[in-house]
Amino acid sequence: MWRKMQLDPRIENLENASLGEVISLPVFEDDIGAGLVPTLSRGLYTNPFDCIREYVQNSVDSRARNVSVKATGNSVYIIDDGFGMSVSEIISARKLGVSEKDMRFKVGFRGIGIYSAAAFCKKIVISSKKKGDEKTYVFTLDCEEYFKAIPRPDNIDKIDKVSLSKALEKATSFTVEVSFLEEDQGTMVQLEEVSTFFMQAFQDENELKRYILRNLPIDFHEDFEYKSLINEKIRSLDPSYNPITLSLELDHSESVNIFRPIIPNLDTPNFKEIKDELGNTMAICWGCLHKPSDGKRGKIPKKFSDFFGFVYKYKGFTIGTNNDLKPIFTTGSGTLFEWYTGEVYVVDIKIIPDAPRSGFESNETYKYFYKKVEETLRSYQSEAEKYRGHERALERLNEIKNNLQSWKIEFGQQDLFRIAEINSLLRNQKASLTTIKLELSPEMVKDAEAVEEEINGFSRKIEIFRKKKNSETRKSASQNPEDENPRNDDSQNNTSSTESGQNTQDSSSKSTLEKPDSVSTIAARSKIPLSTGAKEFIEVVDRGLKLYLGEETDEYKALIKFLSTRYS
Amino acid sequence: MSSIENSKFSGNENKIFITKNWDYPILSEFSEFLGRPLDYFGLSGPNLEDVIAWRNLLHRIRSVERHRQGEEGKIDKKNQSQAVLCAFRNNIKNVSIIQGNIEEVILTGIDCNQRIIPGACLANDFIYFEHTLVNLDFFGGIGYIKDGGITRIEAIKKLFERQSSTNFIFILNINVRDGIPNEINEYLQDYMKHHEDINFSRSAQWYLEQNLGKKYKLKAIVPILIKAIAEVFNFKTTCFPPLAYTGNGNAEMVHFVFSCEYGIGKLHRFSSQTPHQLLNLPLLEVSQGNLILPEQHPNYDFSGIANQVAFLSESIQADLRNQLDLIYKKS
Repeated sequence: MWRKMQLDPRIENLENASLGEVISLPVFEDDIGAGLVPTLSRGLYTNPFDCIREYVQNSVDSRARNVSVKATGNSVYIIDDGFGMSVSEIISARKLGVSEKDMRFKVGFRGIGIYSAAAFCKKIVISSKKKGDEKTYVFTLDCEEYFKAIPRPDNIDKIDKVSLSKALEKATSFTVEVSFLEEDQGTMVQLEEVSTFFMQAFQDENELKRYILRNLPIDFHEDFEYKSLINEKIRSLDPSYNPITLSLELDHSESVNIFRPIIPNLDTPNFKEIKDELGNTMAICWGCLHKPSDGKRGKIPKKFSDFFGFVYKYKGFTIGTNNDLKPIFTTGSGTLFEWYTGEVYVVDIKIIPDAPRSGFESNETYKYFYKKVEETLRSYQSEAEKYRGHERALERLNEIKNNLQSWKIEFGQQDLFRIAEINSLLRNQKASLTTIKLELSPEMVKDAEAVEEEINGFSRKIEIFRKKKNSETRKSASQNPEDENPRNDDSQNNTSSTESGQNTQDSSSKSTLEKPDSVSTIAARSKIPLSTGAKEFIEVVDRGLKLYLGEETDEYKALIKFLSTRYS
Repeated sequence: MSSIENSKFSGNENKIFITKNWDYPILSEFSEFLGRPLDYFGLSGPNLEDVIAWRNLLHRIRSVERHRQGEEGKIDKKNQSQAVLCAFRNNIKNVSIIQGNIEEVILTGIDCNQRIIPGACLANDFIYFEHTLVNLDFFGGIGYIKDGGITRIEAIKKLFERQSSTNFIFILNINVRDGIPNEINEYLQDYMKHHEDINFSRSAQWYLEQNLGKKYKLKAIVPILIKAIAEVFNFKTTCFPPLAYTGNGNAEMVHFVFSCEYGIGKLHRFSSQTPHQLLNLPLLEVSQGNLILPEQHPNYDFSGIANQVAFLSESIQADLRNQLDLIYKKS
């Protein structure tokens, strides 16, 4: 190593440079070490499942419709029915950090994805075949061999440092095989002798399924009613959008085809486009509001929590998580975020996802874009607020309708005390309706107005009834002015008339003015100017006292006597 | 996607005939009897020919593939990936690859990664299998000796022990190449000593001494041997007529199918077929994709064939009847 450094011509070049001279020095092969691959693969792909995403990206880019992820024995397979690779393409696939993919149409563009599993297995074997080709091309990366070339802290002096290209050359190989079925096409990635840790992760079916659903461009279920609507809308703006059907096969569980789950009670998707200053589309957003018909309005059921709110998508792949966009929903600590399921599907290639797919590279375009995302999602939020207000108002309206029905039944019982209460409640309900109407949709406002009219009608009916009762009371009082001991009889008559609605003329022939046998008659005799409401209230008090104390009790009699003396 | 150079494992017309016309109706009836599709365990080969032929009857497929080291290991890995790819291309779900040597997998219940194989469960420190279809191809012959022991016989014994509680169909393809170890010859001779039936002894003696080929000896011995092993582990077996055929690489093979019914109880179980009845099963042959009736042992009762092959399609049965008519005419 020391000798090599001495022979490095760049040293002499730099040493002999005059002061201030700008020198361009060549980059030699040895300047880029083999350690770059593990640094990238371990650093970028922290979750063992990330390598699945990387290989599925290649499947999606090759327009595969079906992808199978299979873990069996000590191998993991990712197989697709995409276009496959030609001889030149498979040679290019080995390139590190060099991608010939067009970003407008392809999701993978960094040229590191195929090395993503290098740290997890002993060998990566990629076999690919194009339709009509008689040959299958196989690329093998012997990861074990490759890692031998990388010094570790415990053997740093024992191994000659090897350049990246030399290590890759030594650890990779290509073979050509004959294919029997010319019509076949596709690519198979086989991760051989996968580490125990990785294999154990693969046995956690639920976690793997969750990762796939959250991160990969999994298609909607056939039975999801808005599947075509959403897919076609996205495809109209991003022709490379290619949702896939993925089958997951693990040794100890049933093979499953993975689809996005059908969340029940979703409203028709609401599409909004985010445009740049020139009017070009940067992203298409869709959001379905959760609108259950059973009246249990609110967030999407918890079992679909991975689909709460909005998430960024890029070529169908998820960027970050749905928690990233939740802070934009500020109302009620973001409660309304969970009433939606939707996506912010980025189509502007100037908005570039970072390598771990955890966010976007920060640049001016992204800053502008994020502002627009905030605006758009806030508009979704206000629509949810409006919906929530409407639903609440509807609930209140239904409550009023129900109350009205039960009060009408109670009215038939002609309990004056209760009728007075109902009358007062009706006034409150009428006031509430004014607020409710503001929240309701125009068609529902008509419904509210009908309820309002019903309340008015009911109030008028109560008023007529009360006037009739007052006049009856006055009439009976004037017909019985001589009654010496009117209290018991009168109270009985009042009760009777209240309950039966009939005028009992014989027993009511007592003067309420001259015989103060109740609080009402005392009040009437006192000549105190009382409003109708006050008179009604005194009647209520009167009846309350009779009921609570009992008319025959000394306590009641003493009270009446006191009031009579006091106000005569 | 890739070719498998080792062509001896590829199918041929005789094997295709057996798979589709012989095994399929047996498996179909058994699946109907169980009321569910079957769980396959065995040597499907990298092109999954059997599995593809029986796909309508199968639920899970556990395919055992060898997992050796070095250059042989490369072929093994190729075979494994070929099987996986084949399943994908044919849209066959629930295919698991069990890595390991078939005998060792059966003997231990674990694969070469030290994991209990799919379709097995651990109970009372013993690994039980729950396969409803076991398909073993012993290309090297039943008497294959490894590490001084007849591991295939041992594996078959262990298979029945592990299959306890699970009814299954046992398909066994044996190459006559390695012949029959003396121990197995002696077994049939001992059987003759213990069965004083003169007809049984006469027929058995013919099988031991005949010069028509080793396939006849296998035909005579294997059903009796399997019956004896199965009964120890509380299985009653029914053996279908053995089929001789020429497989790939001109390998002379004999195809056996046993229906194995488990019975609860600690005492020995007895199959409905007696040793004499097993010996009186015909040896049929599949040649150039056709079922033919070759020479049978002396005093063979041809009248029983119709019942023994009643599960076959009407056209194949008619073909056999025609052959029988010719035999009767000649005699």
